[in-house]
Amino acid sequence: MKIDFWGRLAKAGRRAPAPLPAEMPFGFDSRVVAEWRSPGDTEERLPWAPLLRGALVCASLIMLLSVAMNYHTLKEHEPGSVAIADSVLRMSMLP
Amino acid sequence: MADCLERVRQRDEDAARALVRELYPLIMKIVRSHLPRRTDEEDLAQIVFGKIFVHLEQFSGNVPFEHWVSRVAVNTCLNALRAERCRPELRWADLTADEAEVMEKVLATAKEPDLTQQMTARELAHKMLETLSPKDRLILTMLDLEERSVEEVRQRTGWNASLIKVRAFRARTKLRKQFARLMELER
Repeated sequence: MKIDFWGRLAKAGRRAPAPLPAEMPFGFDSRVVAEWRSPGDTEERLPWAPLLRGALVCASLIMLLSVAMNYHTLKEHEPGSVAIADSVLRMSMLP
Repeated sequence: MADCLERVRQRDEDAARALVRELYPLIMKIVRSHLPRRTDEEDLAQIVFGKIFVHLEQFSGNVPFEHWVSRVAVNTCLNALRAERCRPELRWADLTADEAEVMEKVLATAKEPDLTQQMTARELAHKMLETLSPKDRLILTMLDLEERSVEEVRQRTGWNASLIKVRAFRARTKLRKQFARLMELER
């Protein structure tokens, strides 16, 4: 029969007296509240932050729109291939 | 509590302080049970409180507030445990004299260690759990050390009951192997 060592150890550990209840260190609540308040304060210091966010969104949209409108041009692997062929033809026809 | 929460939502600092004082024992209990090595319990508790305040708007009131807080605390501890990349391997040589004595007692006889050794047994159990993956450690701490039911673990973690049972079974098998290895090395 297999002996359940973990079971025995856990059982012994469970019987140990419960640790003392945690006492809050001095100033802990103030630290937590200060951390909680800090993002709000930053926003108050930067009233133009929403405007900047809006501008960023607009700029991104314009960029995406311009990429979409020029998609076919950008997709061409050799945009100047016709021009090069034309130029070679002209060169060959020159005396 | 509902009134206090409402005031916190309106960014009342006094209410926030009162909430911290009210929840501190509960959060510290969870943090101490699932504290990663080399992590300060106070720092982790502060992170938990930060998350509670940030996500307070998401608390719908469908479950008791303490359950919601427990879940936030457990998940934060789990993330902290995950961030701990390496897990120690327990060797006989790493045990203190007291721990080795308790271990021998547990391995040799079914007789329980005396009262003074029970504290050591608990520390040793936590050391054994540190060798497991964060999820396995979390589940076995709750089930085997805190004697919580699968339903309670489910409520605190949000995981499926079957998953908890399967994980607990596999984790205990891993611990059994650890004990076997320890005994082999001792011999």
